[in-house]
Amino acid sequence: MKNILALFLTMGLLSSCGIKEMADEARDNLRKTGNAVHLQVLTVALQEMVAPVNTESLTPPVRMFPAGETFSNEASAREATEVFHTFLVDVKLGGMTTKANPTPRDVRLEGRKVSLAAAGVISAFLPHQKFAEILDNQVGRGRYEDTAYVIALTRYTYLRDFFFASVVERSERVNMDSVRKAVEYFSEIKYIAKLPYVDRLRLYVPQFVLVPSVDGSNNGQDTLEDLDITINPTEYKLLARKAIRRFERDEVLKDQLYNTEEGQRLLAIFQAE
Amino acid sequence: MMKPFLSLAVGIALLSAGSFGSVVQMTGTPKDVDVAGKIYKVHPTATLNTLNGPTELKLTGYGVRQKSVAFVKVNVYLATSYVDLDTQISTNNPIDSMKNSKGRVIVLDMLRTMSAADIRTAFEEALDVNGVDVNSKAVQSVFSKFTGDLREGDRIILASYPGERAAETLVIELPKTQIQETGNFLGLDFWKIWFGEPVDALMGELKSRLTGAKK
Repeated sequence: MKNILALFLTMGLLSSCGIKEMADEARDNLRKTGNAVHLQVLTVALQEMVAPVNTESLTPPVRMFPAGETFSNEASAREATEVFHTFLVDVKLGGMTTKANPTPRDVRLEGRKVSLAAAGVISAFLPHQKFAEILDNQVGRGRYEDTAYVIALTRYTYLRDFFFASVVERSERVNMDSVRKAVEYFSEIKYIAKLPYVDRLRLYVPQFVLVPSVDGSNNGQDTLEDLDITINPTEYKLLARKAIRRFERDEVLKDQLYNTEEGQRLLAIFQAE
Repeated sequence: MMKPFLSLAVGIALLSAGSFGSVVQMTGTPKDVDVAGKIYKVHPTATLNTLNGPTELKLTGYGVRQKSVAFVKVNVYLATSYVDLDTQISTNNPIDSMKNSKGRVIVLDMLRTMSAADIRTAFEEALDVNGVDVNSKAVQSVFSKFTGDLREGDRIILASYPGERAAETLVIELPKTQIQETGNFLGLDFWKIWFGEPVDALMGELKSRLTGAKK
């Protein structure tokens, strides 16, 4: 009887070990599959962003937006920082062009523009929490502190020139949803403008902009100018007034802004110091 | 006897929107200005025809308004500025030096296609930076007539001239519309877009070209 009991116990132990091993293996496989899918999403998104068909026009680089949004949502704060950093290095080194017969200078300039556009798109689509995490992890203590400042700068610039402007300046019709979206972009712009280290947000790239000769200046030769971008920390006030002016121009929306609870709340966000 | 007839003729010309005659005639031998491979004519002088009679104007400067969109500079328009012969533009405080001007003209040759609403937004922003009340009746009256699309190659002419006391008449000629409005320092207020506090560094660049501080 004792021998039979021992046999059952041994069998039980063996079989439970087998189940545990199987579960561990399955979990490990799931993790690997998850990682593979994660990396595939990032890789494909990056490939899409810099594909020639998506980089023909960079003002704004709208064709990069879908893949850029996917990348920024999928990447961890660390991964987004590192990829942004890589693009930033490329801005200083050069890369590819979409021209059929490029000169060496075209190659360098086009490549740098594409990389900067891709970096800008990634920074603009980062969810707020991820962006805040990048700043928390890098400012004052991270390996990519300089890069974190440029991420904030490009995010600010893209949100202002493309996202906020698309609602406030380029929409033929505006409604309450336009106001909600504008407030969302505006809040992020203001968040960056009010960072205590906003004076450190600067992007300086020597000889980045090709300036055509005007009226025979520079003996008719194009010149290369430095790119030097900073943030005006009070500009958000102008943007707020611009938005209010645009929304007030629509009589129906103006009425909703001043006479509904939500309208007043959104308006107050623009008006707050 | 002749003067009332002249005023009437000018008045009719000003009011006949749609097929309006310009209040500005370019004069003198033009200079070819090459902007990104396209040639634009810049005249050394112009005549402003208003109810006050003709006013001879001289070129103060010209330059390209560029706008930085994200990290790329785009050409928006070629601006050419004229003032009456007696006005001496101060490069330090050009707006102040233009206060008593008998006539001012700015010609904008569009270098890219934009909607009039885009231009309006840009003007409003620049006026705002300069402390001009964008919601004032006169300014709003001007902007309410600011409609249509502006294509590359189109021309906008802004002219302003003094009336009684602080009143100034502002005329804006769009390709299909002529806008005319009178208000206290209305012209001077609009001239702050180019000669006042620049809305951005690139407008500052244009300002120094229009005042002749930079060639």
